[in-house]
Amino acid sequence: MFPVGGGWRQTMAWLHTWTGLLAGWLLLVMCLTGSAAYYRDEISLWMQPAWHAGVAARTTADGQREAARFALAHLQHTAPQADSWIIDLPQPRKPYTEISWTSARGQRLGPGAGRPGGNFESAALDGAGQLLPAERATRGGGFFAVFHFTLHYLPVRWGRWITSIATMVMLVALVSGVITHRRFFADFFTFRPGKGQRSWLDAHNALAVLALPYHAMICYSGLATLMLLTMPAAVNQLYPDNRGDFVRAALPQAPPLVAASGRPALLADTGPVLEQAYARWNGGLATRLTVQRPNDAAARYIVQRDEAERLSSERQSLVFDGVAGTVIGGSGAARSSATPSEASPLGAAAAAATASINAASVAAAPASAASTVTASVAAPSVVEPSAAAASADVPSGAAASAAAASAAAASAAAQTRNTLVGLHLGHFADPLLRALLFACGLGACALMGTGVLLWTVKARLRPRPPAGLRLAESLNLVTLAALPAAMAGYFWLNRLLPDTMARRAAAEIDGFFMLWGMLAVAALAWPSRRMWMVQLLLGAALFAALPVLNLVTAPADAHVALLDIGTGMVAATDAGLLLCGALLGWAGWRLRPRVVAP
Amino acid sequence: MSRPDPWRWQVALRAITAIAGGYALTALASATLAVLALALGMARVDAALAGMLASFACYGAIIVWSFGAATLARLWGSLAAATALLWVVRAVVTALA
Repeated sequence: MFPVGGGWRQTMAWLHTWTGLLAGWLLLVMCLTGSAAYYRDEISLWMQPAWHAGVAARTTADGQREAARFALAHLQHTAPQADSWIIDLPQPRKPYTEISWTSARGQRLGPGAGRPGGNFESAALDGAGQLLPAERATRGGGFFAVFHFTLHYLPVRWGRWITSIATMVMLVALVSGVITHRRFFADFFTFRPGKGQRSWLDAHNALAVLALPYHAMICYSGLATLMLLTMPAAVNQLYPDNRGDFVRAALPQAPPLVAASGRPALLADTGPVLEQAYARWNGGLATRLTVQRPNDAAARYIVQRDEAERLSSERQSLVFDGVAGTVIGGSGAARSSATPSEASPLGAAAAAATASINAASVAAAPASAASTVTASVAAPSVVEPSAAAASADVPSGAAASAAAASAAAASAAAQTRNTLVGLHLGHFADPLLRALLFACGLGACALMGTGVLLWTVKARLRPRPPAGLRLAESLNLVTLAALPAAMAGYFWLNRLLPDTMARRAAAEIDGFFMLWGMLAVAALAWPSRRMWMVQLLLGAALFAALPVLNLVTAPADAHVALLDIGTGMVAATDAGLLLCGALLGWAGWRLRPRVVAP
Repeated sequence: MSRPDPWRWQVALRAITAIAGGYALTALASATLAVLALALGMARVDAALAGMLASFACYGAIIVWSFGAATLARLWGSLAAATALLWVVRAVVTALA
C-alpha cells in the first residue's frame, strides 16, 4: 500500500513495484521478441531453405559491383521498359541480391496508386547471378521485429501507443528502481543462491546493475523511435500549420521519379558509379542501387549507403546521371528511417494503413513469394499519424534519400536521434557485438522476469495472499515459458505448412498465436510448478529439434549450404536455436519434481 | 467500507496528476524547449527534434516527482509553478521572435 507520509525511498520502492507489475509482462513479451529481432536477417534466411544452396555473394566492393552487373543484366532481360528498378545489394548478413521492378502486373503496395512505384515484382539472385528459386511466403524474422512494437493484430496506431506507454512505464521503473537500491554496487557483489526470495532479489539486482546502460539505452531509444506519434508537442509548436513540412525536413522522402524524356539511351556502367560512391564514403559499401527510367536519356542512378557500417541510422545517398555516370546530387544529412513492412502478405489494406501512418516511405516487401520476407527495412519510422504525409512506396521500404543536392552535415539534434534509433536497431553490430546485444536483451528479459517472480514469491509468503496472485503467477508462466515455446513453434510452422497455401505468411503468424494461446490457457488453468516444467521442456524440445527439422525439410541440395550461402549463417542459426533449447532445458530440468527428504 | 482509506485517495490523485497533468506539462516543456532552441539559433527542424527527444526524460521526472512529493499540496504547487514559468517563457520568446 502507498506509504502515505513515508520517506522518499519507501515511496520509490512502492512506485518501482507497481510500475513493474503494471507493464512487466507486456514488456517481457516486447523484450523477448525484440531480442529475437536482432537476428531478423538470419531467421529470415533460415526460413527460406530453397535459397540455402545458392552461391553466396561476396560482400566486398568487388562482390557488390559483380552483383550489380548480374542484376542489371537480369533486369534488362526481364523488364527493360519498367519505370524503375531497385537492386538490394548483398550485405554481410544477407549474401544474395534482391531485385524489384515496377510493373503493371505486380502487387500494389501502399497508397501509391496512380503514382510511380506503386506496383512491384521481384526476384532474388545468388552470388553467381543465378535466379534463386521461388520460396514459400514467410515474414521470417521481420515478424518478431514488427510485432514487438505493433502487437500485430491491433490497429496500426493502437499497438504503437500501447508499446510506447509500456516503455514509458519501464523508464519510471528504471529510475525508481535505481533510487530504491541505494546500495547499488554492494548489492551487485551479493549473490545468495538457493535462498528463495533472497536469491531472486540478488539476481534481479545483479542483472540490473550489470546491464543498466543497456536497459536505459534500449528504453529511451525505443521511445524516441515513436516520438512523433507520442510526443508531437514540439512539432505542433514549430510547425503549427503543416506537420508535413517537418516530416519532409526530418525524414527525407525518396526522390521523385524523374520524367522520361522518351529518347532511348544506353545506361552507364554500374561499376564506375559504385566506385565513385565507395570513394565518397571512404570505402563504405552500398546497400541499394535504384535505377530510375532505365534505357531513357533521363535515367538516374541512386546509390544508398549501407547503414550497417555506421552507428547512426542516418541514410546517406548519392544521385548519378544514369547515362553519363556522374554525380549530380546526394544527401549526407538525410535523416531518414524507413518503416517496417507490415504489409506484404497481409494484403493491400494493411499496407495502406501502414503507409498512411508512416512519414517516410512505406515499406512493403514486394509481392513475390521470394521476398515477402525481406522487409530489409529498418526503423520503425518516426510515425506520422496524419494520413496527409505523402509517402512514396519503395519495395522493402527504404527511403532513398537523395533529394537534396547539398549534403549538409546532420546537426546535433538530428545526430542524437539517428544515433538513438541506430542503437536501438543495432544494424551496426558485427557478429560478436550482435551476440552481446542479444545477450543484453535476454538480460533485460531476465531482469523483468526475476522482478515479477520476486513479487509472486513474496506475495505467497503473506498470511493473506493478495487477490491477483494466481493471475500474476499464470502471467509469469505465459511470458517466461509459453512464449518461448510458441516462438519455437513459429519456426516449426515455417517448415510444416504447405508451400503453396493461401495466406501462408499470415498463417505462420496465426499459428504462433494459436500455440501461445493454448499454452496460455493451460497456464491460467494450472499455474503449478509442474506446468512450468512441462512448458519449459516443451520449448526446449521444440528448439533443440529445429536443426534436425532443418536437415529433414530443406531441399536435398541445401545441405551443402552450410559451406555456401551465408557462409555458415544457417549453421550458426541452427547452433543458436540449439542454445536456446539448452537454456530452456536447463531451466525446466531444475524444476523437475524432487523427492523431499523427510 | 463506507470511506476508502486515505492512501487510496493519495494513489488515485497522484496517478491522475502524474499521467494526465504530467503529459500536459511535458508537452508544454517540450514546446518551450523547441521555441527556445529555435530562438538560440538552432535550425527549425532540429529544434523540434530536440524538444521531442528531451520530452521523455521530462515526463519520467514528473511522474517520479508526482509519487515522491511529500504532500499533494506541494506536488500541485510545484507543478503549477513550473507550468506558469514555462508558459511565460514560451509567450515571451514567441513574442520576441
